[in-house]
Amino acid sequence: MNTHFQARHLTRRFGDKLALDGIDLELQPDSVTGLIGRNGSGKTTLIRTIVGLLLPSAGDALTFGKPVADLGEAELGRIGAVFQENRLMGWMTVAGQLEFARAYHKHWDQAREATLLDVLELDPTDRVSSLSPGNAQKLALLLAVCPRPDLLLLDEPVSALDPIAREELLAFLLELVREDDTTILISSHVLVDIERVVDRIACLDRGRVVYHDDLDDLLEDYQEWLVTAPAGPLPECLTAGFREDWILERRGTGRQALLLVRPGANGNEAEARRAGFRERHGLHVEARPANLERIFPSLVGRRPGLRTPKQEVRP
Amino acid sequence: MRPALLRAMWRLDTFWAIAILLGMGNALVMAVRAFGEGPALLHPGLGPASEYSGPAVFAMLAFLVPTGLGMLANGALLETSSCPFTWALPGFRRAVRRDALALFALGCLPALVVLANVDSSNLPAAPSGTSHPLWSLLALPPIGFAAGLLVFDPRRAGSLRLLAAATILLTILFIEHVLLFGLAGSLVATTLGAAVLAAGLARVTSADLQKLLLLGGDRALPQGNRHPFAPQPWERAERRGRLGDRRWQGGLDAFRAAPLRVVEFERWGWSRGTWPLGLLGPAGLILLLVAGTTLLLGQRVQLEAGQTLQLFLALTWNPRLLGELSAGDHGLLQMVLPSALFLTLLTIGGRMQPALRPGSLYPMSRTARARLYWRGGLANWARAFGASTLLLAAAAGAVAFATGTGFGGKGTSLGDGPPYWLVTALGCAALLPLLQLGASLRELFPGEKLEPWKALATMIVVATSYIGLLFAITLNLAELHAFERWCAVLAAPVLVVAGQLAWRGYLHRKLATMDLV
Repeated sequence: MNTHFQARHLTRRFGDKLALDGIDLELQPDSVTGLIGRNGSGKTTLIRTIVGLLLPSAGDALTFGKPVADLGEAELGRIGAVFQENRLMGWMTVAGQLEFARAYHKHWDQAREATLLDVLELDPTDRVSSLSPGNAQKLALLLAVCPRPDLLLLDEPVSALDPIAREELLAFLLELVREDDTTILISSHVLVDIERVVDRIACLDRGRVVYHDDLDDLLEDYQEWLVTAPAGPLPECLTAGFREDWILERRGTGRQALLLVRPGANGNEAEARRAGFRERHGLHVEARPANLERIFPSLVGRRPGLRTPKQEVRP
Repeated sequence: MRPALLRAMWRLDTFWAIAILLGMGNALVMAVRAFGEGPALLHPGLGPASEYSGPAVFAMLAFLVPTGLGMLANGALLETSSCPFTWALPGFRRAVRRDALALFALGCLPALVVLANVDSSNLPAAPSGTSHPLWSLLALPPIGFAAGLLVFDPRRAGSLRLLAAATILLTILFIEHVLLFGLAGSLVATTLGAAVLAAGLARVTSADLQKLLLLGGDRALPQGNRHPFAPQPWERAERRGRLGDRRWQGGLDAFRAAPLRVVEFERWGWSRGTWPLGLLGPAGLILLLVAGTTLLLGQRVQLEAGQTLQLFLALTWNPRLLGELSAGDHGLLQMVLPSALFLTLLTIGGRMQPALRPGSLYPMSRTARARLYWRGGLANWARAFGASTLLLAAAAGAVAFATGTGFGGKGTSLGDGPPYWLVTALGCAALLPLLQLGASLRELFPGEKLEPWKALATMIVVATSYIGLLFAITLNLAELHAFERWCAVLAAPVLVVAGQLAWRGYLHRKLATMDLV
C-alpha cells in the first residue's frame, strides 16, 4: 500500500539538540493519526519535516514517495498544513489572505471556502492582524483545507479555540474524513479531543516513537479500576507502593483509589487478574475503560502514581 | 504581479528597506546635485562638472529606477517569505528562487549601466579610492536585494541563515570602512565588529539573531520579547500609562481619551545594560566603529567647511570619493556627528512607531489608528531625537575635552551660531512629521481596502517622504553657508509646527466625515 508519509531512521538535529532520534513512522492513506507527546518531544519538527520545511539530518523522510527535500508543486499541492505559530500575513484581510493562497493552488474549493467562512464566522473584510488567536487559527485551518488536500497536517489546531469552536472544528474534521478520505495527522495536547477523532496514535518522547498503533488497541490494553475497601483504609500495598508491575498509577487515599492498570493481553486474562486482585486484597474492584489522558503518562514513561499524589477520587 | 505582493511593497519597515532607502535617497541627491555640479560627483569618469552628458544623466536614472523597483520588490518578498506557511504553498519556493535571481540581476543593473557609461580616460591615473564608489554601487544593491531571501528560508540550516545575515551586515560595514579608511583601518574595524557579533552570538540562538537583525516593527517585537536580552516579563507587564502585550480592556472611550499614553518604544529586545547600542542600531554601530578606528589609527578625514552634502554622502555611500574631492582642516568628529545623528534617527525611526498590539487597535477605526500613530509616533520620535542629541552632544563634549580641541574652531561651529550637530538636529526635527506622515498613511490605507493602484500611490508617497527627508536635510545643511544660517535654524521649528498643524487639520477634517468605529 502506498503510504503518504514514511520515515526511516529519521533524525533531525538542531545543533547539539536531538529533536528526532531515528524514528520510523508511516502514515497510511485515509487514516487519522493523533501525534501526541510532551513539550519538546519532536511533534512540530516531524510535521515541519513532512512538508519539507525542515530537512532530515540523517535517515529518510518520504512524502508521497518523494524525499522531502525534493517536494515539488505536485506534492505540496496535495498537502494542507496548519502550523503551530499561526503566523499569517497580518496586513492582509481575510479575503486577501485567501486570495494569496488560492493563487498558488491549482485546485481550490470555492464552495468550501464560502461555507467555512460562514460556519467559522470569519469576516472576509477583517484584517488578519486584528483577528483573535482563535479566529486566526480558524483562518489557518481554512487555508489548509480549501485546496482539498490528500494529507492534512494540523499542529496544535485547537490550542487557541474556545470550547464551542473546538467542538465545531472536531465535527468539521470528522466530516472532512467522511467527505474527502483525507489523511490527517493532528498534534495536540488536548487528548480528549484527539481521542474523539483519531483512529491511530503516534506518541513521541524525546524524539523517539514510543507508541504507534491503533487507538482502539491502545485503549483496550488499559483499564481504570476503582478499588474500595469494604471496611477501614486501603491496604498498605496500595498506599505505599505497588508490587504488581501492571499497576501503573494510583490516585486517591483513604478508602478509595483509582488505579490505572494494564491487566492483560486479552479479556479473559484481564478478568482473571481482576478477580485475583480482588480476592487477594479483599477489595471491591470496579473496572472501567481508561481514556487517553490517563494512559499518556505511562506511554512517555511517567508513572505519577509511584509518587503517591494526593488527589480526589471521582468515582 | 499579484495584488497581495504589491500590497506588501509599501511595508518598508525592515532593516534592509531602510538601508536601501538610504542608498536610494543618496542616489537621488547625487542626481540632483549632478544637474548643478555635473555628473563628476557620481564618478570622475562620468565627465567634468561643467559638461554633464546625456549618458551620465541616463546612468543616474538607470541607477534610480532599478534601485527603486528592487527596493519595492525586495520589501514585498521579505514580507511574504517571512511567514512559514507560505513556504508550504505549492510553487512558492520556485517563485522565491526565481525572484531572488531576478532581484540579483536587477541589483547589478544600475552598476553595469554606470560602468558602461564611465569614460575611463577621465579616471585618475594614480590608484586611489575614487573607484571604490563603483564597488559599492556594484555590491550593495545585489546583496541587499537577493541575500535577504536566504535568511527566511526555513529549510536552510540555522548557521547558514545566520551567516547570510552576518555577511550582509558585515559587507556593508566593510565597504563603508574601506571607502573611508582604507584596508588597514577596515580590518581593525571589522575585527571589532566581528568581536561584537561573536559576543552576541554566544548568547543568542541563530534564529534570535536573525530576527534581531532583519525584522522590524510589529513583527520583531514578539520575537524580541523572547530574546534572552529582552526585558523580563515583569518588566513588560502592565505599566502605568502604557499597554503591554495585553489587549486593551479600558473601553473605547478611555482608549480615545488617552492615545498618547498607550505608546511605547519598540525595542529590539536588548537588556538594560545594552539598550543604548540597540537603540542606535546599525548606524550606531557604524559610528562606534568609525570613531574607534579613527582614534586607534589616528586617521582623519579632511573635508571643507560647507561640504555637508558631501559629508552626508561620505557617510552613507562613497566617502572616499567625496573626501578626495574635498580639502580642509576639519576634524573627523564634527563631521561625523551630524550624519551619525541623522543615520541613527533614520535607522531607529521604523522602530519608534507606537507599539500597539493588534488586539488593542481592534476597536479603533482606521482614522483613529492613523491619528494615534501620528501623535504617538511623533512623541516617540521626539524622545528618541532628544536622547540621541544629548548622547551625541555628550560624546562631542567628551572627545573635545579629551583632545583639547574645544568647540570654538571654525570646524565645530557656525561662527557665533550653534554647533553643527545642533543645526542638524533641528533639521531632523523639522522633518520628523514627514516620516510620521508615512506611518499614518499606512494606517489610513491599510491592505484591506487597498487596490493595487492605491498601494502603488501610497508607496510613492511614503518613499517620497523618506527621500524628501534625506534631500531636505542635506540641502538644509548644505545651504547654511550660502544663506543666512539663522534663517535655516529658525525655519526648523516653524516647519515642525506648520507640519503638525497641517496634518492635524487634515485628520480632523477626515474625522468629521468618516465613521470613527
